[in-house]
Amino acid sequence: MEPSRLGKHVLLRASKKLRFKIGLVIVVVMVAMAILAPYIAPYPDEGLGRVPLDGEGRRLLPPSPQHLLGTDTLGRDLLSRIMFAARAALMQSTIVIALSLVIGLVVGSFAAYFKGFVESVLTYLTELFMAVPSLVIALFIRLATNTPGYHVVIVSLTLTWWAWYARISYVYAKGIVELDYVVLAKLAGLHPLKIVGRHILRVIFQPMAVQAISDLGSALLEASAINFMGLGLPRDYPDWGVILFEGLRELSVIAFIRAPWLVVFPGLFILITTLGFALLADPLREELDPRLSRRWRLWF
Amino acid sequence: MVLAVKAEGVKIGYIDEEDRVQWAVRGVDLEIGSGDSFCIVGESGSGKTTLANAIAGILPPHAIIQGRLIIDGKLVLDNGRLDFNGVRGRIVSYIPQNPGTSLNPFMTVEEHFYYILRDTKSLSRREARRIALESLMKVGLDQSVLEMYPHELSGGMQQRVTIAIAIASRPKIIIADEPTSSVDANLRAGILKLLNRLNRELGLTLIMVTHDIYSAAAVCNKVAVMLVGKIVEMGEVKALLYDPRHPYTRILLNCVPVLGVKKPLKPLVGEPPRLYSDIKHCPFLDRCPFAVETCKVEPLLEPVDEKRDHVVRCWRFKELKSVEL
Repeated sequence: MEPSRLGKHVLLRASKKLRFKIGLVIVVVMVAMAILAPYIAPYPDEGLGRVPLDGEGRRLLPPSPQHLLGTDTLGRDLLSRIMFAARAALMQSTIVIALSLVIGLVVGSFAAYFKGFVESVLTYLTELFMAVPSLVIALFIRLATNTPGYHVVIVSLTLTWWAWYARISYVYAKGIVELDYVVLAKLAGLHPLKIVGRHILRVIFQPMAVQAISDLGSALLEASAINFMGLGLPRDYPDWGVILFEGLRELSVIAFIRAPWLVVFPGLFILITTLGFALLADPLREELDPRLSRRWRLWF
Repeated sequence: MVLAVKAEGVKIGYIDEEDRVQWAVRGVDLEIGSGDSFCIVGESGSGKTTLANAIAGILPPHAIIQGRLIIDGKLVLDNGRLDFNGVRGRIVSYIPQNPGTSLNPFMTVEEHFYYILRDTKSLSRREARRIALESLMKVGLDQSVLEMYPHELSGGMQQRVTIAIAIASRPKIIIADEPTSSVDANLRAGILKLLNRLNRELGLTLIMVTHDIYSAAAVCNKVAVMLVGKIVEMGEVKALLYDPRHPYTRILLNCVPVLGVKKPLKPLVGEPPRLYSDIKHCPFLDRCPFAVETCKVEPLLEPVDEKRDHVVRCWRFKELKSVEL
């Protein structure tokens, strides 16, 4: 499919906004950090988890020119750890959102197009999955498989996340299925799959994609929460949630007094990345649906 | 002459939520010759759109259909059995009422052509583009429209695009369902002229549905007036306009404002009857100023004179000819 000019237009208009630029810079920096971590990290080995030989003497050093963000409980450079952790963070949230988007789009548009039995089954299913908290599912998966790893985070988050996309795309699609071009295509005997693909999915994809971009941050938050609880990635894995958790586990609440950098910096990175995705997606959404941005101008 | 459309006792009803059948078309017989431009005129709820949709083959699945319908020599409707394969989109094509909502907002005009031509004639993208350009030229648009999205076009251009799409698959019959209802008076004249031209130049059979009897007169050479699911008067456009016989047609013509002529516009009081039960009386009984006892029985379509092509469904059309409304 050739790039739609509507999409380009939206991108162009949004890119003029300061928020979009800030968001873009944050996201680009994070992605670059994740990709280039082995080359730009000051102590790449330590970033991957190797404890330095003189680790004993370097435990919990405060930020200094040698260790810009200080060292952790095993004496490793925190900045290197955080740089490598960006990989895990971006990977988890991207995979979760992409899977959820695909499932949600398909379920939502099918529910809206095939009315009656299919619609009620799919909407009930959607509501069922919306009701389950991802942390509980993560706990179950962790206990059932008994191995920590990416699968716990991705499966548990996708299972709960797709339902939101299914709900939103269902609502979007519901407004489209009654339009003339869908009804006429249906009456003319076009294959239902073709109608859904050509006339429904295609139309709802753009707003859904923007929604997905802004949700990348929220998915990162949730993934970090699961990792923080120790349910997802294994101990010592470079991930912001895991690093945060380890800081707190070793030192409990005293961490905030004895080594605040250990909990503050990973948390800060989670926060900034989430913010970056939100800043990036918000102007896009406004441009895609101009009523959102123009409404307040009418009011004042 | 080959008949483009031949309908024999076509009845179409819709099932509503309470499983009752609401008959929209209650027995229509008509013959439309190939190359004719035929107009179906009537008020809202008279079944004119349903009849046109039946000919176009786009009735919803909950419609109940009886009677026989032959399109271009092919029996497409035989007492409830539908077989529009090879007819719909290839022989009969349809111009929708609202071009704005009938075009996919996320597809360029060129893609609209491509998908339709691929599905009906399995053409490649390049061939489809060539035919799209040809069709657009015929409706007075140029190449730049091909790459545009529907929202970048004006209402009149959108309507022209839908007409171009309708003629792209080289159909023999075109159904236009109130093609001028969503454009202003100036564009209306343009669209009507365009339809007229297509009818003459491409030899298309044009079936137009409208509630505006004068725009019907501008395009068509035959007019059928529908009322409560039945044809009440049908004939050559001149005969019908200058010598209307059915009281409904006369009232319809009488209530059109004429530029420069001051006349009181009489409204037609009352409502069309509900269509749940089978109506045995004349469909115009409740509202007709000339209703008498005989009108309790439904009249038949009778020829007005010996030429037999102007027919009217009224018991009193002969005696009423001289009576003022």
